[in-house]
This record gives sequence, structure tokens and C-alpha cells, in this order.
Amino acid sequence: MNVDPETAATIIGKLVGSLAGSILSLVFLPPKNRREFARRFVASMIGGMVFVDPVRSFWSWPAVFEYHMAAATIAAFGIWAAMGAGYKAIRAYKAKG
Amino acid sequence: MDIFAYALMVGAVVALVLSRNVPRAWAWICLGIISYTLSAFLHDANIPYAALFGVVTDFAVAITILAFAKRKWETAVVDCFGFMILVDLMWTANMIPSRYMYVTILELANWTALIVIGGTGILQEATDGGRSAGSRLSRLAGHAYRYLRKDTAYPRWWRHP
Repeated sequence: MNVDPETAATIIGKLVGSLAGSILSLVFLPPKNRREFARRFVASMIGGMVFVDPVRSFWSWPAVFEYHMAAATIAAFGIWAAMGAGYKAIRAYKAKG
Repeated sequence: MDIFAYALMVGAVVALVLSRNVPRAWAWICLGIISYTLSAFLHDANIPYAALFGVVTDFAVAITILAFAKRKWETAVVDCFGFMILVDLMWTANMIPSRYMYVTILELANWTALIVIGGTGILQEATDGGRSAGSRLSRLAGHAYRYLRKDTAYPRWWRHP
């Protein structure tokens, strides 16, 4: 299978960016337990990969390796934060009864 | 190493002495010293993207503290390291105008972390474990101490299933 080097660089940039965004989030918005960590990690990895291009086009960044990576990091962090807010809302709802 | 690095080392030693009775404070200060020395060495070596290595070392320290943290003052130290990670990322993204400003912000964050650790040590000594009576100042110190000694707002998630 032949992969165009530019495509490979794009995919690697997105993967590395999503991974960085998901892992750095651990310090800023720590999860409650391992199960929540696993769910938020998977979601932010996938979300980071999916939402790279909307984030990149929002700031009209050019399609180069660094910007793919930066956009993926921001997207992954955003998904992580959004899921955290979701979990918080669910917990508050359950506690209320 | 320049004068600021030496000053920070003296500050770290003072914080070590002040926090001699605070459990885990010695470990966090030593981790901070290792992280600072490593990232300063990489910055001085003029390798490209040295700030990103600073992100990695700061992240390693922050995640270690978070995994073993029991008290609120420790999460304040984690927040200092998180702030340094953000500053390093902003420097990499060219969002900080001058190197002078970048280094100054990092130094301030380092000093804040040391003051939080050393301050907890001082308050522990000064308030006899938060049970101080007497002057208004010492009662205020007791309040501050009890706040810092509260259980961490973040759970020790690394240990629990």
C-alpha cells in the first residue's frame, strides 16, 4: 500500500495533536476515576481527529503539519472539557434526585 | 546558570527547611528542582522546540503530584505547574512577545509554587496545626492553614478503579 507522504504527515499530525490534547487535559481537568478517564480519553482522541478541520478553518490556518497538530490538540481539549461538563451536569442531576 | 537560577535554588532550600514537618513537600520540591534544572539545561542547549520539553517535564511533575496529592495546597502546586505548561505552549505558538516576558512569567510561577509549599510549612509551625487562639492575625493564619490542609478537591483517581 502506497501512502502519499503529505497525507501520512497530516494523519500523524492529527494523531499526535489529539494524543497531546487528551493527555495534557489530565492536569487541567482531572477525571474522577479511571472509567471516566478511559471514556473521556477515547472520546477526545476521536473528537480531536474529527474536528481538526473545523478548528483549523475557524482561524484560517494553513494546512501544514504544525497547524494540523495544534488544531487537533485544541479540538481534543475541547471535547475533554465538554465531556467533563456533561459528567458534572449528570452528577448534579443524580444528586438532586 | 544565572543569578535568577541561583536565587531560585536558594528559595528552594529555604522552602525545604520551612516545610521540614510537612509530609510529601520535600518530594515535590525535589521533583520541581529536577524539572527546572532539566528544562533550563535544554533551553541553554539551544535545541529547537526546547519549550516543548519544558511542557513534558512540567507535565510529568504535575501528574505525579496529582496522583499522590492528599491536601489542597498540593493541588495549588499542580495549578502552578499547569500554568507553566500553558505559558510554554503559548511561547511555542509565538503568542508571547518577548523572551524576557516569557522567562519572567515562568520565574514568577516557580516562586509561587515555592511560596505555597513554604507557606504551608510556616503556617503549620506558626499555628500549631491550625489550633491557634489569641490575636486576630494568628486566628487568620489558622484559617489559612486549615484551608490549605483540607482534603484535595481532586480525588486520588490514579489509585481508584
